[in-house]
Amino acid sequence: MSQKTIMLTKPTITLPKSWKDTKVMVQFPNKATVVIKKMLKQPKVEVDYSTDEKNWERIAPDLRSVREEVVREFYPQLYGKPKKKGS
Amino acid sequence: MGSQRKKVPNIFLDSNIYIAAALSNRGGSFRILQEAKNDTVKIYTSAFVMQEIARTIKRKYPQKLEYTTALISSTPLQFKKQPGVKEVQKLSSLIEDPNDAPILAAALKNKVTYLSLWIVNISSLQSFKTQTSPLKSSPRRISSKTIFTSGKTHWVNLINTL
Repeated sequence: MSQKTIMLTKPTITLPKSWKDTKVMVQFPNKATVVIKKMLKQPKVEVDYSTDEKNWERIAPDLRSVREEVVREFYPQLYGKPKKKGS
Repeated sequence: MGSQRKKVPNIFLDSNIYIAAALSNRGGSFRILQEAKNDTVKIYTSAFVMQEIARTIKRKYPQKLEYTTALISSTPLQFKKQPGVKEVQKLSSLIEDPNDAPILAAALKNKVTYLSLWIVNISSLQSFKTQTSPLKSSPRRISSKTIFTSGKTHWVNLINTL
């Protein structure tokens, strides 16, 4: 398995987007090097599904009107209007 | 010891999931975007979905625009196959609301395992799924494994599979 190694030398750390097959080494000024082999798993907090439902209901009317607008722009043919060039 | 890549579920999320994730970090919508960062799920999307999110947030929740941009740009998203006009047109005649066709077409085009929808009528989709003959003429046949999720029960099941 190929593994990437990222050497971070600056005091500010930019973490990689994905930790897949990635090893991060942090070198301190006293030459001590810490190797972070794996990202610590974030504790999974309990999902509150009621917030999903509440937000989905809240945004549905707006999303519905935006959807029609975007469809008219992306796929004007669905409304029987061919897309005009340069308009 | 050989390494085996674990096959992760492919999912297409409707715009409402991203918007809900931007509005709250306590729900399943936010969780699923985090799961993509952990490589436990692969999320497919389309330019159409991104446009809907941007417009809705800009108009209704402008104070969340910067956060939403950061949230989405930090989430690994797959923009692979975008549906063409003909594909969307074919699907629009098969479902209740033709405006939902671009979402469905993008999901089918990418052969996702899960398609999470909210404002689409789930019963019309279930009957759509069983109609095989009209789909023979469509560019991509729907996968028999595709699971439509809509509403709380389906959503909870989906999150729990991750």
